Amino acid sequence: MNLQSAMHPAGPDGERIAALSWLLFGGGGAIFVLVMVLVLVAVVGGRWERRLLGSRRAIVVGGIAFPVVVLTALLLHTLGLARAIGLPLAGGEPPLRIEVVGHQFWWEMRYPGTLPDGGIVTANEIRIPTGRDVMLEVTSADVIHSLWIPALHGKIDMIPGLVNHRRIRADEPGVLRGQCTEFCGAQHAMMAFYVMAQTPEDFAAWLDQQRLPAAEPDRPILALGRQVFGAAGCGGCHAVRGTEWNARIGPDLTHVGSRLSLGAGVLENHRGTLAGWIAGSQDLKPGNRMPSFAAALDGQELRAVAAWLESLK
Amino acid sequence: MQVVGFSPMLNAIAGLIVWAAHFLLVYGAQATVCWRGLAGATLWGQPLVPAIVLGLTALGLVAVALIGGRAWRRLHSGLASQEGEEQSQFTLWMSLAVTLMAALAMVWEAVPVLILPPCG
Amino acid sequence: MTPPDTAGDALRHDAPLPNPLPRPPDELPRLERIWRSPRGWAFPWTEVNNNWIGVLYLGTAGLFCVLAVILSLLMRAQLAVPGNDLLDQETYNQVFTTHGTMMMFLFAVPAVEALGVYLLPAMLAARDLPFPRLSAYAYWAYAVGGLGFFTSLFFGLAPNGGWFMYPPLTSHEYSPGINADFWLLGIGFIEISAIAGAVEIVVGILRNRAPGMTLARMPLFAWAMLVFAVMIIFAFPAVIWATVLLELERAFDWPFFLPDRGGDPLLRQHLFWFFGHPEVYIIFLPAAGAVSMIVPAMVQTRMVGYGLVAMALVATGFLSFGLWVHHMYATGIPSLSLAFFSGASFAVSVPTGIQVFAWIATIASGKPKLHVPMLFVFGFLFIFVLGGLTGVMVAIVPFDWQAHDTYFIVAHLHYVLIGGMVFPLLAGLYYWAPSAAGWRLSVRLGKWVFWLLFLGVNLTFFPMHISGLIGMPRRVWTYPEGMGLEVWNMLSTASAAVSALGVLLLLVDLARNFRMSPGGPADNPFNAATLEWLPQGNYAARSIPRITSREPLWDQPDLAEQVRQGRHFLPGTVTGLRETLVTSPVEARPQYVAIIPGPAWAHFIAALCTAGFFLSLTVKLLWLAGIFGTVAVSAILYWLWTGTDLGPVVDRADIGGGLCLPVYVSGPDSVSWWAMVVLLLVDGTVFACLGFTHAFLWLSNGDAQWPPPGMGVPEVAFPLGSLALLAGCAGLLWLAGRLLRQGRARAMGGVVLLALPLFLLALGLDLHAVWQAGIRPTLHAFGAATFANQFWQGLHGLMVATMALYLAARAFAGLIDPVRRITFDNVRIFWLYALAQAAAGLCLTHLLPRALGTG
Repeated sequence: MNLQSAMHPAGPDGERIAALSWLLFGGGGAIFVLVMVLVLVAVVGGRWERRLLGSRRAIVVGGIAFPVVVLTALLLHTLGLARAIGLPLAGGEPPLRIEVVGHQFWWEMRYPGTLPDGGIVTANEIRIPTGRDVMLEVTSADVIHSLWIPALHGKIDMIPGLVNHRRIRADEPGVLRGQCTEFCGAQHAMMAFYVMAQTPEDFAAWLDQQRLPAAEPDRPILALGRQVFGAAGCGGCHAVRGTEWNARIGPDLTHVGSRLSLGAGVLENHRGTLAGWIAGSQDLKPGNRMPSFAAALDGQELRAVAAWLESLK
Repeated sequence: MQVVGFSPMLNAIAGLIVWAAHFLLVYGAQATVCWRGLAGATLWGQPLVPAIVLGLTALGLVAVALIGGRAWRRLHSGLASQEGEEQSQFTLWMSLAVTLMAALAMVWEAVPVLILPPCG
Repeated sequence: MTPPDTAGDALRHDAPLPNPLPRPPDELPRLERIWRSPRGWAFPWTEVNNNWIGVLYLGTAGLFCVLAVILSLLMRAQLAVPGNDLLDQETYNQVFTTHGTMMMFLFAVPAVEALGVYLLPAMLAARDLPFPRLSAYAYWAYAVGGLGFFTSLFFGLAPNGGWFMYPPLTSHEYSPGINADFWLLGIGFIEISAIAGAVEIVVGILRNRAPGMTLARMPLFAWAMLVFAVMIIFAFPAVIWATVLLELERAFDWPFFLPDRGGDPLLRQHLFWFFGHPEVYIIFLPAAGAVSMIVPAMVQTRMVGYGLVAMALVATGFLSFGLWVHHMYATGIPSLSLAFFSGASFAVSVPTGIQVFAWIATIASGKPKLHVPMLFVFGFLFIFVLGGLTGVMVAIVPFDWQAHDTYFIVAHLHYVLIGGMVFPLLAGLYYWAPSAAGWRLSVRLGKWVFWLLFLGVNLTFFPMHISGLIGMPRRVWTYPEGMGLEVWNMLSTASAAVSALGVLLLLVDLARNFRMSPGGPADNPFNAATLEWLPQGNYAARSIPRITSREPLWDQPDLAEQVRQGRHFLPGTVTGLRETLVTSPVEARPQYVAIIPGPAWAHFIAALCTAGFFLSLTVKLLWLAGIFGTVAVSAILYWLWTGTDLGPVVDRADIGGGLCLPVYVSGPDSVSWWAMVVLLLVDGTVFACLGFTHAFLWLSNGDAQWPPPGMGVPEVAFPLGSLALLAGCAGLLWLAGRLLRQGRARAMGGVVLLALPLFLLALGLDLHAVWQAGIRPTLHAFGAATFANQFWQGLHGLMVATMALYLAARAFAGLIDPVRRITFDNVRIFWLYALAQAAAGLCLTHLLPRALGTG
């Protein structure tokens, strides 16, 4: 199953749009065939057909009356659909709010109200409970991006200085993929994220886990990793809740070990890829804002910091 | 002055000029109302946005009906001048056809206001 | 100047031919000598004749097309497999930006404009369009500027922000290099060159038609070009203004688009797409017009539904301006606003349907022969109808939310543009090549070109519909494995190679079989009905035919011979200079014989230096820009001084048929008056965009920030003072007109020199008023918008000053009198416009905040 396809919907709005798409392809295809057949008839048809087709009346019928009827019906149908997409879905619960901020070239997700002094902050993945409306409130910290989870809904632009809304809902638990669709600079191509729909219970459990501050290192290599993190200056850009680092330039790493991907959908997430990313982020995703640390860290330090980050589940 | 001869061209496109004015006013008015946070406002007891859009559309349709009707009457009155008959028939016919196009466009643009929320 | 009453009689179809045989023996040699192309090293730089400029123009557009195709092959090679590293992300981003920019600005619009420049005079039986040097100037500025733009790619300096150049990505903070400036300055002035061409085409079509070619008899290609040119006049100002704003923001930090200082990135999108959507139809309509010429010739019958098609062209021209938000469905605009644009998008598809069925009806009522042009017409119908249908799909808001900015759109737009423009253009190339080269291009190669391109294009772009819907965004330099995209991308890449082969074969065909042959063929190989198939020379038709129907060559069987013998109007030259016949806009009655300029260097030097000026600005060589600018303006002034407003060289010109026409008119009958009015429409549209900028930023900021704290609205005494000065200036202009009527031209010059300081003082006073009220352009979008107005008014101050000094100089040199007064008329219209615009600008600054109660 394709995780990022408008034709493989996984939620009610995605399904409505996919159904509309099939209607359009069917109707459009039929009209296309009809017009091509008429062209063919105009060339090789019999005298009677060609005389019928070669008149002003044919233009009025085929070029005016037919489109007006078809397009009026289509307009009314699609307006009804647009209205339905704007209305809350059944379920009663108020929508879950998630703020998504676009950055060159990654995503910051915030869950307002999940902590006493704000909310948890994560990156490059949206976790949502199934069967509940989720209202994405999107904006940008720098240039214009656009958020697209084709299986759930169409795009919504993330524009600095403006908050846009997109209501999504997933029916079944599962993982979907989304991507930036407004050209945003060098690594526009590598700005993706995952959506993980979970049962309400699993989602609540995940949320509880995310509410915790970062775990204290319980092994020497992890302690070394935490120390290297500070010494190398990682805290100048990244926040790790429960430590002294709270910069907001790069992704919040409080629970980085629990995430589905690294580098905004570029790599799987485990100790090896973490080390690789830290050492060579400019080789893996050239032009992104994080420097490569291959020269600054030796092998031992790299392994340690990767191990510590991996432990932040 | 031959420039007077330019006016048949203006007549021929008058319907579409009405359309252009209608389009800009409808879009401009709706955008302004929504940006100013007046989504819930009313005009003579009617919701503001539909009232404006439908009012402007009615005005626009009356205008193109007048233009088209005038062209229709002149087209069928046989008053088209003798020497330039072919030409004036053509511009009158065009004037009429263009008003129908403009009316269609205005109706299609106004229909949504009956279905969609004013600013949502 | 009222034309003689005899015109009506001379134009009747049963009147005797205007000129008798035999013709004087020196008539034709004299005509040929006067219209001869420059020889030797002066060619083609000094050439202004539309035949040559048109073909050069087309060839240059074709060159840019081939270059952009090469870029597209690079992109296809990069995307052939996932995770490819043939191009790095920076190169790829420059390549796709340059590809889109070149195809739109350096190929599509110039190519159809070139087709118009080449074909229109012959089709309308004009000797040339009314302003040949303007065409030549526009061409050279475009050619040099376009090559300069393309070169930036070799230095890694090409723009990399997409052809739409959205801020803040293209703002200084995120694009500090000069790459973006290459787009803004390099392309910005090529837009001006497109406008110059449009002015020429509008005036040419309305005023240079053959006698008797009423609007009802005008070829559909001319209808299409008329709509095309009028659309350019209203669409291009928006992109020029958007370009000006972004460059002002980048160069001087005026925050039009930066939200932290009250700007709004969506402002750029509105302005850009107000141009960008009509642009698609600007490209398509001339191509559709060409198809409406080719189809009747191919099937040897009259166009069915001529009136419907003409109406459809005009309706498309209007309705396509109601679609711009079509490209902004995902920006969070309320769904009702989007629905207005959806409705307009549906409406614009009706005229297109009319044209498609008119072509089908025409084919059905004739006997189609499968000449190469007809093959391309069939290919056009196939590809374009498919692209049109996906166009209806993306007009539907919820569907577009999915399709927008994916490869589905890449597929759609290439179907529309290749189907709607390239295939008709190729049909036109194979159809009209004999009119320029004397013989047809190769039939065998032509069929190969067609099939390679037809299959290549369909197999390249059809898979993109699928890859887009299953998750491939646009403008990505690579994509990951495992998303199901591999097979579709590989197919697209392989098929792109097939198309490339087709392009290559076309070039081979052209290289082998296309040679310009001035003097032209007397041949009409497809037995077509319209005037471009008359025997042609550099001077177009030997005598200007009297037209009695839409298909003159079919209905007036001896027309070609009569025209060649010189039996129609103006069979030679009256003044010994290049001339063309000017007719009335609707009925095409002869009004006067206009003298038009011949070969010269001034326009070429001016074009070179204009391009040099903008390119030096881009690379921030201000001193060099200063030199280029000065030379360009001097060359233009020299060209005007020596080549325009010659006055009544002879009293009357006998063009035959009892018609004795003036060779010089002024006022609303003169073509130069029309050109000035058209230019003011452009100017007024830019100013409307300025007004929109103010209104939009006010709405976006809200009352509390308009003006923001710290900036006030100047005391009311200031604008009143400025208004008084403007009124005084208008009064002096009235006085100048009165003095000229009395024959006191030198006194008129003196009054003009008095009026100029009043105007400049009014502008200066307003600048002072704004500054002393604490308004600063860099602090907030309010200030930026206010100063954008100051900038625009200042630019007009500069232009008016140049024009006023030129006018005064002409007056003192004795080159202006109560008859010979076009220079005065044109300067006065422009100046009065500038006064009105300055007054409207005062309203924007001083009245708008007060009216809103925020000031």
